[in-house]
Amino acid sequence: MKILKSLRWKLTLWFVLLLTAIFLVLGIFVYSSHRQALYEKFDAGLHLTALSISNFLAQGEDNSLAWLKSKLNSIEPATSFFIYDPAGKIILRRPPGPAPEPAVAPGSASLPEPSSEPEPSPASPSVPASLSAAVSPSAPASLSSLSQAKNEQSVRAELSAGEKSIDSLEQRLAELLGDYRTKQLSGPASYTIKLKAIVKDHTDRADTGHHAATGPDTATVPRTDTGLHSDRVPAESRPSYRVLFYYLPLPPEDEVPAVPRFLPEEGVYLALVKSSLPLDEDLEALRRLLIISGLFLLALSTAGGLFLSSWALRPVHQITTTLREISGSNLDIRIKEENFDRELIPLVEQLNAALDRLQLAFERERRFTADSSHELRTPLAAMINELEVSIRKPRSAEDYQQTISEVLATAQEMENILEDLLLLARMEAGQKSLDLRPVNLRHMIDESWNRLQNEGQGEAATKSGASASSESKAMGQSFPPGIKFYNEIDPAIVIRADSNQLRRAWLNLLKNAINYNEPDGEIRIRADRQDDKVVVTVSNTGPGIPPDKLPFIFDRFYRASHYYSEAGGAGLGLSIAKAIIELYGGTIRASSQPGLTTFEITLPL
Amino acid sequence: MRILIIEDHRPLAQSLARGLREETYAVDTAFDGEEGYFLAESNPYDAIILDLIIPKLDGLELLKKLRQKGISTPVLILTALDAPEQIVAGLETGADDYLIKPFHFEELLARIRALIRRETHHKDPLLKVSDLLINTRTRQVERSGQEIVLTAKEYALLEYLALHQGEVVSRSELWEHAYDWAAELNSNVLDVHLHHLRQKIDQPFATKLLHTVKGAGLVLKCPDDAAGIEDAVEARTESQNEPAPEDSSGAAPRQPTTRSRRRDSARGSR
Repeated sequence: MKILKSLRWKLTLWFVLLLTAIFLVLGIFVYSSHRQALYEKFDAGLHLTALSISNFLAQGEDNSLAWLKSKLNSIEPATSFFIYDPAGKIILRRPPGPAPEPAVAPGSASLPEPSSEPEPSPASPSVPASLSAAVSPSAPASLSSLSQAKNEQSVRAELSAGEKSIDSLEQRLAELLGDYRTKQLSGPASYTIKLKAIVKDHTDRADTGHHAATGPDTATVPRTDTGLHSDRVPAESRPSYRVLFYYLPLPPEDEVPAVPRFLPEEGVYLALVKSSLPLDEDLEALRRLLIISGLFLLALSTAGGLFLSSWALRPVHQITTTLREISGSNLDIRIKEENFDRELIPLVEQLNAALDRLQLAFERERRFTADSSHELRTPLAAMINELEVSIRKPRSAEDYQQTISEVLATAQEMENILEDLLLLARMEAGQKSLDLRPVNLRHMIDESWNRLQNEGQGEAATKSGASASSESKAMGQSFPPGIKFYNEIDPAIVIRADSNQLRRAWLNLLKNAINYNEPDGEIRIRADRQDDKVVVTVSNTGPGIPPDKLPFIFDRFYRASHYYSEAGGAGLGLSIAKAIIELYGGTIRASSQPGLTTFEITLPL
Repeated sequence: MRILIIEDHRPLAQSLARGLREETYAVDTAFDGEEGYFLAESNPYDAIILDLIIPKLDGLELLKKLRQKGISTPVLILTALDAPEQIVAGLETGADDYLIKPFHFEELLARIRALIRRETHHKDPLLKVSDLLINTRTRQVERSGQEIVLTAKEYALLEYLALHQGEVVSRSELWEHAYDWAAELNSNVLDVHLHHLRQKIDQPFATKLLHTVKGAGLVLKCPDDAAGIEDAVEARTESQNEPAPEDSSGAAPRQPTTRSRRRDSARGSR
């Protein structure tokens, strides 16, 4: 997944996931609560209606049908309902949409019957008879035949939406209830009841127990036997009615809605079935809304996430841009801290610090290249030039001799530089194993000093002899006799060292202290034992090293330019001293101020 | 022609000086930046050879200071620094040429000659005054097809006069450009050299080329532009309120600052 390698896309993805999760939770919550609210409302409406119908049926008043009509009309228009006859046929249907009017063959089981054929109570006179006998347990036997007849002709009520259906209901209801006594009842065997139904459960006056309440949520209502004609029936013979509700999915227009199997074996049924379709539609709409808005949110959150993540990553781009500008020639560019937020400042600081180090390293490198080429090329140029000038014309033997000795001196100078460089390279490679022996530090430094003094005097002597010519100053490091030397090291201090090698470090340090000293200055050496190491300080008077040059003084060929070349040497002395001391696991550092320069050397004992 | 070498590597400086002197140049050497700056500022050099890595005052700093001071002496940087940006920095600071060590002496010479020619607006290395021909490359002089053998100093004087032909050149100016610090502070030296020069280039010929302008100096010119002398004399006396007292003495006392100033004004009047 390449996309997951992109921080931007990852951030976006997380953002989208987070928003989606929130949306899902919210959506589910909204959906379910909406659903619940809908169903509660729906239930409440139905319940009311059902109860009212039950009551109405129970009271059996004459104007009840009109009342029922108004009741039914008061049912929320979005709700469809069906009224079944005892055979499970729909005698009334109010779908939520436009009135369905499929032309259906009379024999079919389809329900929305044309209204033009009012049911003429074709139920034979035998039916009322059987109905009267409905109280008897034998009734189920005749149910099927009745139901056949019913299917064919009885439910012809004109059923349509709204007023009309309810108007016809009056008639149908009257018919049904009128037929009550004559009809045998039947109920379809297998329908799945989804939820509730209104069942008018007829109970025998004798209360034979056939028609015990069966459904949940039932309300048993005492009933004068045939509803509308209650006065004609003795009170004790009134059946009880059972009211059930159930929801059904609204069937396609030309299909019989699922009829509840609750229909008891006998009796007159009035079922009010409420389709859940409007609810479904409502919920479906909500669902659709949620999905669409979900998709929209997804797109929006992706865009937003991309924007946010690129906004969040902007500082990174800024840093990248700045860093890209940096090359070898403009290493002084820094990332401006004030442009960044608090969290990024440490990063910026670290980057800038790294750039500082890089710049220093570059500067070192550049300086080393410049200095080394200068140090090596200049003597070479001197030799070549000397020889070229000499060869331009014939000269005397003395002239040639002079030339040769000049070239020789320069070649020796180069040799010294090369030897020093090689020494440094060898030490860097760290190849040589150290020959460690106990050495008295004080003696060692005294020795170095004496040697330097001899060398210096010898050199000064040869110089004065050789350069008595036109040049005003004797070149090279003439030994300044005016410098006072104080060796204040405790004679008891003994270190383990390769004395030849370490002496070279002292020689170089002392040479440095002489060369950068005033003619009548002083050099002071102290040593201090600290636990497992000894700290030696070599300090000298003199103009000091400027602070901006101090970090470089141990660099090869580096010379703080003020004293350059007057001090002689190629600027390798301190590098060598440092390399030697580090070979012993020691450290060296320098501090300087006008008048006093101090080198602090730490050596392990 | 007088050249200043600012180079801290003494063997190199000395061998350069030796080679240049053998080429008839008057050469001064400075071993550090401060000394070099002092000399460059106080003497009218015809060219400066400058090393960049020098003690006390960095080469580029020195050059910058010189140029800021308005001293336009041609400067050739002679250094081991060979990176393009270093060369650019050198030339941009005001150097006229850049040569990298190690170098060939012949090349250095050619570059110095070119610098001086450019400075005196003579693109042709062959200088011509009437029938007098001076080859600045081989330092051969001939007049009317007849070769004249000159000593180094005589040649140096003649070359300077020829490069400034038609102009009145004071004795002090001649002294400044043909002799270095190492020369003897003897007033007669210049006179003697001029005398010999005159003998060699004018004596055997009918027309004289080297003229003395009273109270002003000398001029090397073709005989037919006599009017030019007057103009030159006028110009010189105008720009120089006091008639140079050194003229008669020939050997000028070493007062670098005043002398260089005078030289500048003389140049300005040209």
